[in-house]
Amino acid sequence: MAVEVVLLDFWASMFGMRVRIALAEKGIKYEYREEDLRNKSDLLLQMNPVHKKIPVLIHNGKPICESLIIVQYIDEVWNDKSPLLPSDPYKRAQARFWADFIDKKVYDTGRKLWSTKGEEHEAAKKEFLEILKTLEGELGEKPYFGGETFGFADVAFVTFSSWFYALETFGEFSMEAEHPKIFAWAKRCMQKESVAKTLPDQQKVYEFVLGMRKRLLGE
Amino acid sequence: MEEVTLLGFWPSPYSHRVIWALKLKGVKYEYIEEDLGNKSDMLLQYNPVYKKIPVLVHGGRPIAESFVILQYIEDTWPHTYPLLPKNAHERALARFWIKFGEDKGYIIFSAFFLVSEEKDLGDAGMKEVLEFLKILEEHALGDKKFFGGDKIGMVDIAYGWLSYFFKGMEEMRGVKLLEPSTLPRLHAWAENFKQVSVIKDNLPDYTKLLVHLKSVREKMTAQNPTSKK
Repeated sequence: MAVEVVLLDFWASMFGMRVRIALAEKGIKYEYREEDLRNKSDLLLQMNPVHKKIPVLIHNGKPICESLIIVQYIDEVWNDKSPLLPSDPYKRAQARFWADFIDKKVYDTGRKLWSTKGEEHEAAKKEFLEILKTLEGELGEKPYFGGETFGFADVAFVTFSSWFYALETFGEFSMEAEHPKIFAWAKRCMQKESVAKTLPDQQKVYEFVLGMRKRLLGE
Repeated sequence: MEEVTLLGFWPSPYSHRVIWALKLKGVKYEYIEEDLGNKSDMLLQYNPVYKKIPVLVHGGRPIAESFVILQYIEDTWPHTYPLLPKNAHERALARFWIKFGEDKGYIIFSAFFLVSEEKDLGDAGMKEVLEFLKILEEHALGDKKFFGGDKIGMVDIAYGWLSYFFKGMEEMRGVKLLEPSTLPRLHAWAENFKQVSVIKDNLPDYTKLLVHLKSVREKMTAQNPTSKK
């Protein structure tokens, strides 16, 4: 019997983790395939010829690329349980806006925290803390970015929490001390089975990032 | 029905995406022209995160980021002129191509507005833009008349800048990338898109646009005297 759902992914990718969480939320059975990003499979190159990146979801042989697009696809196709996007158009727009903000800002600036030195690093640190402040402002007193329930914007951001220890170390800040609301929110999300079972250990991620940093900066 | 307002800027393709979508859906709205050199309190209040146009305000509630706005319009007025396909996989593809254009935005912006020398197509930045256009033609458009099929949809609207504003950018830089000889299908799409009545009736004056584009480039290159990559 052909496997209906296949996920091409990489264990440490916060983008891949988003898809894994969505699949878990919906209780979808799928085949997970770990990609070696330095030796990409023919299947990956065939299924995502434009970007050649993970994650790629293959559903009945058809590929869907870009993590947030995949999450929306999953939400639309398996719409019988655990809705990730709200039904109200305005709330959906807010969820999309914040997921897009996270996509535009968190990864690129976060990357600079561990991959740069000197002035560039100092600037990245400042920028990253501004980004966290903005996110905390949006979260406010809500339990989740989505409001009362875990939703699209939460899925978009929570996967970065597995990178928190690495980001804190290279960014020289403490999430718990300086951004307690985000820290508490991440802990709250970890109480969800889909999140807890998906996110890799922060120490493991830190060691992975250390390896990448060594290769990039030679130290 | 609740009031719809659009905060826009006359030469902005992002602003026009929203106008085209509202017009296709037959949604009445009030247009407010923003002076980007002197942003209104209203804009700063409605889009505190980015402080940019376009911002759609519906029943007093603001929505920012043009792609988010387009999807909001589609969700809110679903019964007239669908902008996205019904099929979930095709919808995912449409979103993919819109995002592709967003992601390449900086490459296009720098090639046209930041690099201060070179008119020659050998310029690295221009090569990247050409590559991008080739991918669009081959993978996104293919042999279809429009990205949306027989009628224009959200992807066409998202790439609307390529059909009209791009010509101004080419003229400003003295380059010709989107030609029938180099990109026949994409060039044909650009011509067809501009002819759609809702689009044709809602385009900025070309001469004024060219003047504006030139002044943007002057400002940008003065601020960023760049060395070639």
